[in-house]
Amino acid sequence: MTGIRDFLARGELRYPRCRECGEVLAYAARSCRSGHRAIDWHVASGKATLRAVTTYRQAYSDAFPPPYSVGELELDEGPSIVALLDAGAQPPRIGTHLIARVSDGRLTFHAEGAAP
Amino acid sequence: MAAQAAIVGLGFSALSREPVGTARELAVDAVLAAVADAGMKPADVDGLLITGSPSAPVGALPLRLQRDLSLGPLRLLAKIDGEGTSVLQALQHASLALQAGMVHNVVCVFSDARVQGSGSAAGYAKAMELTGIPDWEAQCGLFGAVGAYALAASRHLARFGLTEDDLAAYAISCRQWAALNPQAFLREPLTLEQHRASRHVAQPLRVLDCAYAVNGAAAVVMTAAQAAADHAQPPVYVHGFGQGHAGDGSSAGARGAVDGALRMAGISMRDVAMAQIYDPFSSAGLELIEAYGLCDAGDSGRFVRSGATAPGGAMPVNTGGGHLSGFYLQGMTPVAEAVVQARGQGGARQARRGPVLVGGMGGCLDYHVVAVFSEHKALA
Repeated sequence: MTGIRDFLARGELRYPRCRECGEVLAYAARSCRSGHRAIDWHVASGKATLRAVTTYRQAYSDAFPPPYSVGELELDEGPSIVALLDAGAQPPRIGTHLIARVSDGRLTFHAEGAAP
Repeated sequence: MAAQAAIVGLGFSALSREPVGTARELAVDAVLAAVADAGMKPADVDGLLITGSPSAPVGALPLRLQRDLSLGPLRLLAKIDGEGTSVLQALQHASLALQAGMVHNVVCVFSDARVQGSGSAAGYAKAMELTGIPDWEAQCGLFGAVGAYALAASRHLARFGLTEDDLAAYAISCRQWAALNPQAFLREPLTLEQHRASRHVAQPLRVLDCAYAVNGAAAVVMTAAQAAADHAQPPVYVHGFGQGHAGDGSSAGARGAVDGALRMAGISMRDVAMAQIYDPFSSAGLELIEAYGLCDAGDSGRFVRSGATAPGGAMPVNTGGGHLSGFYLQGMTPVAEAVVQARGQGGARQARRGPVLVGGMGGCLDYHVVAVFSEHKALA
């Protein structure tokens, strides 16, 4: 089953839409509300709005030393996604517009104008 | 409207922060205690519904629990999984089976043995699925239920201008109740300063905003309403159930669950005397108070700070201390406290008697089951 990771591996952020209805779907959806199963993956603009954010102060994994911030973002095209923010302990405020970065198959978001 | 089913027994295993047995062993203790509380013998039981934690190992609570308890023949036996709604789901299934005449006496048990020494942190690190993409959240560093709830808390606080001091107000209200409950684990008074000094786990959530995990089990015995008065304890009648699952990552399903339960019970929110809710984090408690309609959207901080939910308040919430200060037995924490209150056995923490709103919640505010309990067989 094609998914977001297949495109991230190629350096692209894409999002799913029903081929029949054009309905924008959640990333996990396998069918639309009308029951159609054919999904097209469209290239996303990479622009998103930060809807929720947390900064971890406790360590859970060696791969994620705190502090680091994780956000829930709404892509301009509609779907929501959770991603690590390139922001350390000083995350942007909720409502801020952020830009996607795809690197080594990983998706992160950073503030407009922030250095990569 | 007259109730169809009633809770006639309530029992606990030992509750402890130390390892005190497997979930299966603790379940046996709780079931036997509940059956004895009802004045019954295991041979009187013809239904068993088993619930546990979504993070427990597969097979921790098998149907073989029947054999452990020498129960049988049973006419109803299942493991029920609705995440944090499991216990109320089991009660709803039991009520329907009783109403249909399928069974006479059903035991619903919840058991969890999550605190097992220093290695137990692994259970809390497990990421909660938000996007539905397999293993996505852990890859983003969103570890633990605390991460998912921290995101939800940040959204709710930002939307209404609530603050971390509002989270503190909720935790303090729960602690005030816990101080009156001998069974609660955290009973020392809690101040705003102590809450502010508590370390963050995942902002905005601090250690004192998180559920107090314990090992333990609790069980209830349900029977048909017409037979409920013949047992050792005052019956607690179950008047209505509602479910609501929005499916969009929001808490919007909660209102449908409340409305469904009130409609089935034939009462309105004005008739509700108290609420026992599923509050694994202080932020979830505040959001549910709003989502249930106990106060207006965005007003939960002011509502809690006014004392409305605390001892002596107009709408007592989690009168045993809830998950934060009482103990974290998931859906059984609110159910057990509702039984104690409806029986009038709350002692120092007894609130004004009347219909009790009881909530279960699963996912990250996604899944909701709500019930109405009362000491009266007929409401309204």
